[in-house]
Amino acid sequence: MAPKESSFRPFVVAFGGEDFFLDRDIEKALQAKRSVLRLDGEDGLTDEQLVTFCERYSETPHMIIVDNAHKVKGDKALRAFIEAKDIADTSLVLVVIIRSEKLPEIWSLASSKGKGVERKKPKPWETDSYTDFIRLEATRLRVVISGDVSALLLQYVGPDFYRLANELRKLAIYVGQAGTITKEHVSLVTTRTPKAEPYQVAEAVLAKDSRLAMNLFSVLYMNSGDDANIPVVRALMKQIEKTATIRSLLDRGVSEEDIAVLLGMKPWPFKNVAAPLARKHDLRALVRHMGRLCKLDADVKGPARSKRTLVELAILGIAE
Amino acid sequence: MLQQVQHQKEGTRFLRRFVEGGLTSPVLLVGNEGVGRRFSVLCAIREAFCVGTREPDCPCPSCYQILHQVHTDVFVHEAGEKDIGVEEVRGIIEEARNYPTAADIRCFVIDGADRFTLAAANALLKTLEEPPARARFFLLAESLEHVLPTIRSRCGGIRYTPLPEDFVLSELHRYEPNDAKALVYARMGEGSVGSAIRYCGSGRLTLRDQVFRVLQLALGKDLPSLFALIDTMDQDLVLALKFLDQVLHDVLIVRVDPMRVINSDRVQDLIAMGQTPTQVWATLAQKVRALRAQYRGTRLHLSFHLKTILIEPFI
Repeated sequence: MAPKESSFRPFVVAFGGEDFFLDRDIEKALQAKRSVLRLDGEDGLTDEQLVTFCERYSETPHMIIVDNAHKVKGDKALRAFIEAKDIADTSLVLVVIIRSEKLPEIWSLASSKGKGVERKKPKPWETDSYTDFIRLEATRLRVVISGDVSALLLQYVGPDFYRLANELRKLAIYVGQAGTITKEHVSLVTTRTPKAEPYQVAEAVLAKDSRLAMNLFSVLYMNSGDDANIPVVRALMKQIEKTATIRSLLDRGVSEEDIAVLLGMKPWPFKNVAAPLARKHDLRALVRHMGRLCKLDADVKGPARSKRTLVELAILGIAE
Repeated sequence: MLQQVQHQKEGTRFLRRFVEGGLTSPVLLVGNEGVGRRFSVLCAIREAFCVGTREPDCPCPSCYQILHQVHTDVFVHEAGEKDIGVEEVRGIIEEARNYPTAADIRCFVIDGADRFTLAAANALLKTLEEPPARARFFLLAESLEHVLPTIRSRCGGIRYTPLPEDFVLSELHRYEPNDAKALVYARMGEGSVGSAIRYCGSGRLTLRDQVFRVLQLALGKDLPSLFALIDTMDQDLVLALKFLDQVLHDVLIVRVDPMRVINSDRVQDLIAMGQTPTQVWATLAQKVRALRAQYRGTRLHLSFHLKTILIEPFI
């Protein structure tokens, strides 16, 4: 009988922007039946130190987990170690976690000698990725959840894998093993979290919808507190600058298609969103608003009191 | 060695007292970057520590170590991109408590006394009030207004004046053989050899030309090009703001005294811009100066502020 092939590889490289899955990878590695050593690139780890650890533990079955591996300093010794490593030698497994979208060249080399996994962070509008995750997680927790219930859960919780996993665990406890999660369970157990983004506030302001802008801003404020001020002001600046550019080009008689090309925008969103917004304002008013935002920028980043009120006044002033 | 320092009589006189052992209290040297503050302090320290000829080319170990910044009793601390924080100051205080190893005293040169965080400045107060017997402090600052008053009051003050244009030009000729360009760089340096050489070395006339272009675009109300050009300046915006200040100064004086303009190679452009009412340029110059003062030590969104003040007078 042929000997059973080991499931281990000398290198396991996980990289990407989604921390949830990278943390899961660490959890999974910790469960391996091996002695585990955890290191972190954020602690000033150098490649020479890492190689020393690897060589010290390569005699017995060991696993070394290096979190934030993209922050490990230097790569000369590491490169020599990776190049010299025999693929069949799995006495030591090096699990590399890179919390960045870009895979550094040195770790790309390591993944070519082992396993490489990308943990990409889905965009908030890529709802399929989140609903698929909900279904998989439900299976893992041994409960049943249908497609529309997953969508409802996502709507309630928002695109956040940590929170989705936590809410699912609560629901699984509530319905019991092999139970089915229904919409009623979701409404009963999950707290609805309204979401707002700074750019939405800016768009509402430019659309002169002061009511929506204020509501979105209060949601933002509820979620982030005083930290919401600077991103909102930044979003307002960006939006007003863009609108002023569009307005000045429209005033000069440049066609909408040309402006879209000039600004690198797709024709449809330009024609239906950006251009109508620009037509609601005249250039003089936009420049005046830019002046107001400059003052606001200095206020929110300085020692001014009642920063929230200042931002609200600016929102109302521009949206009126 | 202090004789190497030129055109800074007050500074040299003050530092001479240190060399002769008569100055033990902390010293605050205020002046623009590149006017010779650090150079003169290091010259004074070399002269005080020298065990050789006391000439500028002295080969003694002390002089060699100070020149190569490896002397164990000379600490030069410089503010980088960030302000000087409390942890760094605590490190300096700790060092000041130790005895000197090679010389009789330890010298601490802190370049950026106007860039201490509040906590850092307060942490240093006690040490400046009663410095350890074998420690000497030299604080360097560009702006006296930005030095905490309690630090100011604990230090003897020396003001470094801008260097004469002839002197800067003579130094600059070593790097820039073209007279016209050398004159512009010298004037852009505003009395600072260091700044003039740096601008010359990094070819800053390109950035200056972009500043001219920015003003022309603002005059032409070409918002998209103006915004795009300002965005490309990105890392150089602070310097661009300084050049803008200088160009506006030139626009205002070019009709009255064309010989005094900083950008002497662009007189025709300056005259053309001067056709626009003086009031517009004066207001703009005032706003640019206010922005430069306001920006210091803050996290303002500089490019947006610059775009706004540039288009406000013309729209």
